[in-house]
Amino acid sequence: MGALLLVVFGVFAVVLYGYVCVFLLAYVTTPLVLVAGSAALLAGMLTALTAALVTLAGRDVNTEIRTPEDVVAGKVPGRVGDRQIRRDLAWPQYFAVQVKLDLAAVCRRVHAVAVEAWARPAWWLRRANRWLVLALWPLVLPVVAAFVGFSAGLLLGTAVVVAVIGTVTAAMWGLGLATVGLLRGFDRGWQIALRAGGSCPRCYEVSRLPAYHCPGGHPAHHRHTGTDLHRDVRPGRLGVLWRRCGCGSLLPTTVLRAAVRLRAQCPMCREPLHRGAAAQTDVRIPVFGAASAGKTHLILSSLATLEAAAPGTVQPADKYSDRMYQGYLDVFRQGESAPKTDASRQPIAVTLLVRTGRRRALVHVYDAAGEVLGDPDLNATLAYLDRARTLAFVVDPFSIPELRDRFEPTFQPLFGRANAAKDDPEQSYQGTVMRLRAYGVATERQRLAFVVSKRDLLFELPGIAPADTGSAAVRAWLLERRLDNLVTAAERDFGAVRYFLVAAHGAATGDTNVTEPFRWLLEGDRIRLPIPAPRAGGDGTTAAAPAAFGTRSAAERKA
Amino acid sequence: MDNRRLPLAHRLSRFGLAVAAVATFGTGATVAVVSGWTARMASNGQDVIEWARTMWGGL
Repeated sequence: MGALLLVVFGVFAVVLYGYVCVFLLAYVTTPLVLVAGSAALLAGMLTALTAALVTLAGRDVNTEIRTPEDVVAGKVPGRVGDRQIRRDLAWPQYFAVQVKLDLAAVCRRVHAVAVEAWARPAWWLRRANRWLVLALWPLVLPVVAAFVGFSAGLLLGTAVVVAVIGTVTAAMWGLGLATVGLLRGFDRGWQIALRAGGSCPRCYEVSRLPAYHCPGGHPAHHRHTGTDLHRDVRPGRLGVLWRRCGCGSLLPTTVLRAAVRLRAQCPMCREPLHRGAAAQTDVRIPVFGAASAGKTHLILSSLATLEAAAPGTVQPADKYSDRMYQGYLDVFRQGESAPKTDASRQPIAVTLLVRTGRRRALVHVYDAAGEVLGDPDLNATLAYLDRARTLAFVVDPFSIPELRDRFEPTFQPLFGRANAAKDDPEQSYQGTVMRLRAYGVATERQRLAFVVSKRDLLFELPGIAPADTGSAAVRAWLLERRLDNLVTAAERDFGAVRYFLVAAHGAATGDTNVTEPFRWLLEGDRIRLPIPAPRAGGDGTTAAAPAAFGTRSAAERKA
Repeated sequence: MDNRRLPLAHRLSRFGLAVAAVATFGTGATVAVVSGWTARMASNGQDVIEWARTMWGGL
């Protein structure tokens, strides 16, 4: 009887438990699951949004920040050019690097919240009576739904945050890449159109991309190690329109803007470059020839004549050039010759700043000692020869064998005053041109001004000077002097050759003929000197013929 | 790192992203409420919310 009662009671209890469960499931669990799940989903999404806002507000101390020091240490992706050595000390553009770190911080924060949210019920479940929890499953289900909903909300919210940040980042990358391409293209196009470059007067490096000195407050060790230099100011990962230096200074991107606002330095030797380097037309004119051929005289006399004829438009561009110019003026006033170029020192360019209208150009004239130019071991260091589009070859007429053999015995004092070059002109020409060829320089693309110097002294020889100083007349005169091999070699080697006969002392009389070689060479770079061309006369001081006359180009020779 | 130590461009970018995120969530919430309301109107009150209210009433 007792057992029967126990069975009946058990059946009743099971039926009652089942009824309560069904009742709870229908009237409590389901509504609670829906309400709690929805609310938790919403809460999860808001939590994800809050995590994102906290991170973006900079309140998350665990967010990794990519600082300028990290950039220098190479923690920014992308290729660094060989000449840049490493990336510059500057803040990376936000959407280039930092956005990924911020997104990672948001995800980490949300993950931490999710772990924390599940850790508490898991702990409670471990401590609670397992049978009791199972028995109360209709009441446990809404709680589980709430946690699942919260987690789903976190996931969904994070997905939305990632999608939003990803979309904005993709849009900014698209805009940034287009702008970077445009700015870099304009920069490069400008340099090509104006033939701009940054020539180092000391190490002869020609850089399209000079290093720029940050004017901000840098510690001494930055100055010492060159960390304050910005070696690649092109738009890119460190900024599209502007870049923020590690010192806090705002610097312009693009070479054109940096050239106006910042001080340029040679990226190789850190020698200061001229203002506007790599943004202005840059012309390099190596002058070569035998020792005592009159190279230095030609350069300095041209400089003096140009400055006198067009004051303000042609002037020394740096202190060294100005010192050289002033030194020449002193020598000239005392009626002496320019001191012999020191063969033991690397030549430093004499640089002129030429202003023609709104255009500015830097003209670097390199003057090496004749002994160095003719020596294959020594001239290997004259790297400026490789980067020139134009060259000037100076021939001392008193060193021409035919003329020397004929007149030296009779006109010994004149030859003494002329300080005639000892080396044969052809030998000095070949010494330099063979070096150019050996280094793979395409001389057929270069222009050569073939300058016969010491015209004033040459006219003291009876019946020997050419009737005209036009290019064709000088060329014919050289052929008469049995320099046909040299003339043929020059016209074979170079793309265009023009012949000049000049007097370095012409500057004293206001004769601008001495500037004609430079005028012609600069015209090749579309620079027109703002001085009138000397007009032809019958006294031997005639100037150059029209530009095309007497100039023999490669095309003409082929024809 | 505090936002104040970051360059202005970074702070502006972060602010822009925060605004974009809030705007997206706000727009999503608005769309959800409006579409839910519209669905409820279309079903003449016999939607999930009404059903849940009936359930609570029955309880």
